[in-house]
Amino acid sequence: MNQFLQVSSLSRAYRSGEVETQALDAISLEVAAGEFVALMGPSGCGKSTLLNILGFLDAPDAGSYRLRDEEVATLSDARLTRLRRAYVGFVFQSFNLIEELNVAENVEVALLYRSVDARRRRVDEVLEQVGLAHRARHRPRQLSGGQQQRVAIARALAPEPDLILADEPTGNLDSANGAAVMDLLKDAAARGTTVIMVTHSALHAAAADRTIRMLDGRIVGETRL
Amino acid sequence: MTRLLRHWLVAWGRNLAANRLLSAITIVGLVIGIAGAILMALVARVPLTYNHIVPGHERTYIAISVVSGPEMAPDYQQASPGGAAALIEANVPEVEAAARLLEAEVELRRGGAAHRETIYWADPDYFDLVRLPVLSGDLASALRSGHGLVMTEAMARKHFGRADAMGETIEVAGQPMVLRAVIADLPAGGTDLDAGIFASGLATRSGLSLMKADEPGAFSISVRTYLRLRTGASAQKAGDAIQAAIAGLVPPPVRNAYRLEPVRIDRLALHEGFHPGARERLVIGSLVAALVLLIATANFVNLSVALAGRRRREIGVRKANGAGRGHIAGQFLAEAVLTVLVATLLALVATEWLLPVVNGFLETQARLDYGADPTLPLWLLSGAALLGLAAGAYPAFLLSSLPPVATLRDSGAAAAGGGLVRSALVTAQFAILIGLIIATSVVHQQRVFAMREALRMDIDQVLTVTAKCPPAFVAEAAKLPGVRAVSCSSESLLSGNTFMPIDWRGRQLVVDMVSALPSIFALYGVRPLAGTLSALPPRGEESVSGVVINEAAVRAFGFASPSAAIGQALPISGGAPGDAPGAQVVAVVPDFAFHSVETPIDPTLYLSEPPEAWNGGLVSIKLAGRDVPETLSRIDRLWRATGNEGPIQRAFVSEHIEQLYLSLERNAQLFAVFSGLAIFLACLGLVGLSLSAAQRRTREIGIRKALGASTRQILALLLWQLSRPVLLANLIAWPVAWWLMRRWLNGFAERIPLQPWLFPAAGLIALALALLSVGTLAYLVARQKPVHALRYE
Repeated sequence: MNQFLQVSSLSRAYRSGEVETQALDAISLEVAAGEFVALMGPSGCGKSTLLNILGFLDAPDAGSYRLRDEEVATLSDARLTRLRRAYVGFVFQSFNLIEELNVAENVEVALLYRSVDARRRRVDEVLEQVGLAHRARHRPRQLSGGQQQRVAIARALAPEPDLILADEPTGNLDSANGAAVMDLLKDAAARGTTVIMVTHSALHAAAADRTIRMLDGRIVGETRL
Repeated sequence: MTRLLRHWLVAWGRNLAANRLLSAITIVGLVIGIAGAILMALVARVPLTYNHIVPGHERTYIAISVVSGPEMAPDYQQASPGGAAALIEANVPEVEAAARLLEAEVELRRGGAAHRETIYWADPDYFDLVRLPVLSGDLASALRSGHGLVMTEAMARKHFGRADAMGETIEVAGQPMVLRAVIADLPAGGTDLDAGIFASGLATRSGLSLMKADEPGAFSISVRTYLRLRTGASAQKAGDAIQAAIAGLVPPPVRNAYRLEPVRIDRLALHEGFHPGARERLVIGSLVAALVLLIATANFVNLSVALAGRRRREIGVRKANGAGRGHIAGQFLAEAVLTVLVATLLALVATEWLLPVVNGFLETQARLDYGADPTLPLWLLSGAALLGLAAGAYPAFLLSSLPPVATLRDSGAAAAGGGLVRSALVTAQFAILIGLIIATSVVHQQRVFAMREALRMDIDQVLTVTAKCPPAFVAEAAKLPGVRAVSCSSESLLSGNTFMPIDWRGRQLVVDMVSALPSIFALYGVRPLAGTLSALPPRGEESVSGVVINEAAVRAFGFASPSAAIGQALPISGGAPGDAPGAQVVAVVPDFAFHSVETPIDPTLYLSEPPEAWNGGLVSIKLAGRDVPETLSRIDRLWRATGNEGPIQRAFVSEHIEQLYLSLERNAQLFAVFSGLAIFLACLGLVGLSLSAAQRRTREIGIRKALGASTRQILALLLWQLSRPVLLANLIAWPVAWWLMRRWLNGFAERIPLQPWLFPAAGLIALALALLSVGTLAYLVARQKPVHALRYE
């Protein structure tokens, strides 16, 4: 398998006054292209921090992060934005849809900052893919939680990213909606997109190719299916 | 880019709709601030573009007459001696050309129709110098024959029924004249030319032809002399040369007091001599309009940041989806510009509606005429875009710099940051507000002082009738019921326009002269400080032997005290300067004057000449104050019954005083209006901020209440936090207001002291207004049940 990303000795600490919290403590990890990885661990173990660094929303204090053999740990804010634009799609636990935009416009946000032709067609395609084409003109508050998360996945899929980062995508959903969301993520991985998902659910983690367990900012175990 | 703009437009519109109340507060504030700024800009534009219709106005001047002397306020007239133009053209090298206008009211007759019109008799080369825009005909040669006539388009239509009436004849002052050129209508209030008809000064019956050369003893200033200076010539040098050139025209007694000064025609509208207080009013108006716009902009910035706090999640999502700082900043800047543009369009509608009111109030002729000035919309829109960029810069910078992780993790209602800047802006707003309250109060107090205490005389219920003391009328008026006293004086009692140069112990003094019966002092409640009025004959004396002077004259003549002045001989005889020391000071009265307290009271001599010798007269009638309308009717009937010619010209002295203080009155009203706006805007902004803060802090309030805080304690906490910037504002406002108002008061010879209590009082008013604005809201938030507050979010 092609190696997609590689992190080694990655550290990140947060300081608040005199208190320092070590969110990531010299983590090393490799993920292959098209792999579906689940990150598990208790709250505060550093899963989301790792996801944010992998998605260029945050930068590490130390260590290396290589994406497709390019070192990206120490790039400028502008370069990180360009990498995010080029490679990454996000799915959040709380959906993070923009209330003032309708479903189609929310999905379109993912294409606005990229050079994408025929945006409308692409938006229609992904909404069809997640089964929400008939809800394109609705506002987020008019949808159920499961539907909102499917919109968020459509938004992540729209620019056809190489990497989807999902932070507890089923955390706010019931089991039926959770299963539907997992199906969409599995489909994406099956089409060659690398998916890294933070989850508390062993059931949903079982759908991944590999499960990495974290504790206190370190990787403490790994299960490969 | 188009897709981004469209998307931004959608996001902007929906965010405005989603936050209707706060958006309305922001936009209403901006509309008020921008409308105020546009109105002031339009008003300021009139004097600043005065006479710009004349090409080369930068070197076109008018010669004005200035009469001044030691301890005497200069008197300005926009007129000059008839012979000055020729002398200046021949002898002043800086002057390229000179031409005259003489205003006259004449009859114009054509067919059976006759109209009385104000016209200008103009020198043949007048239009070489003042090249007004011509619509038809040859303006340069139009007045070179004795029959030449030039009219504005409106006047041509009025008298000939059409604008294109070239070659048509009309009788002007009894002589036929031919229309040789038609010029564009003169902008109302935009030029010193009021009449729209220019007739050749070469005409036989022209006032210029009939005018005799000025001779010593027949010195008069009646024409307008326009001058064009050579390119690069110094007006100062020209002024000095003019003085030398016209010296022969001016009689020796007034030569030292008289000066002919060139004044640029585009600066006439703001000349202190002709429009006292206009420049100050313009500066004050512009300043307070700018301050109100600043308050509105600060509101906009504050509320934008507060509103954007709710859009942190949106910012995070956009950043997670590839938006860079530039995209986010661009979006918020575009939103700010769009909001300001919408507010500007609404402000323009408000301006159209308010402009006539403002013109009426300020007596200006400002116009908002897009047709006449096609660049105006461009200027307005550019200004709006710039204001939008300036106002949006800080929120855009702040929001675009938010790290995406923090924005996605935090609650949607969290603050966007910039709390210090927001507090600083609220503090600045209230500092301006407190300053304006202080200024409004000081201007009002000075106005009341000027119109009452500073007069040092009793003008209550005093009526003046323009007449030279007709004996029958005066005698009978005194007997009318409702009349307490009647006395007479020359017109100069009110106008102060009669002055006399006096050689006094080797130096020349210029003193005001008032002829009056001795009873005038008692009528106005003025008592002598020294000496007695009883020595003066009640009906005046042919040869003046006793004179009353004021305190300013005591100082000007160098007497040690009022008492020391009594018995001193002054070189006056019968109102004309003379060498014989024929008049003795019999009494000294306090300084009182009917002119503005902006200028010091001039040294004044009150002569008890008989009314026949006066130059114009006034009958002063003190009314009892009861049944005033009936008394006035009786006086009117008496005027006719005692055989006086023409209708009675009467006015209350208080009206004259009010007219004097019109400028001060307008300043007071201007401050009051803008202070009201500032109060409204600042409170509006505070309400908006507290609304936003209340929503943001609902959770915190719930926690405090769950931990035992009472509604009163929460209310006190909220009000204290909102009051802090207001209290801090006093520290900035007090010293600045003190310095500015002291400076302003120093412009008055007679002024009120700056009361220290005014400053804390203004601070308390501002605090009370702030607490009133946010108190109800704070109370509602404070009394929420904790369970509700904790469930929020």
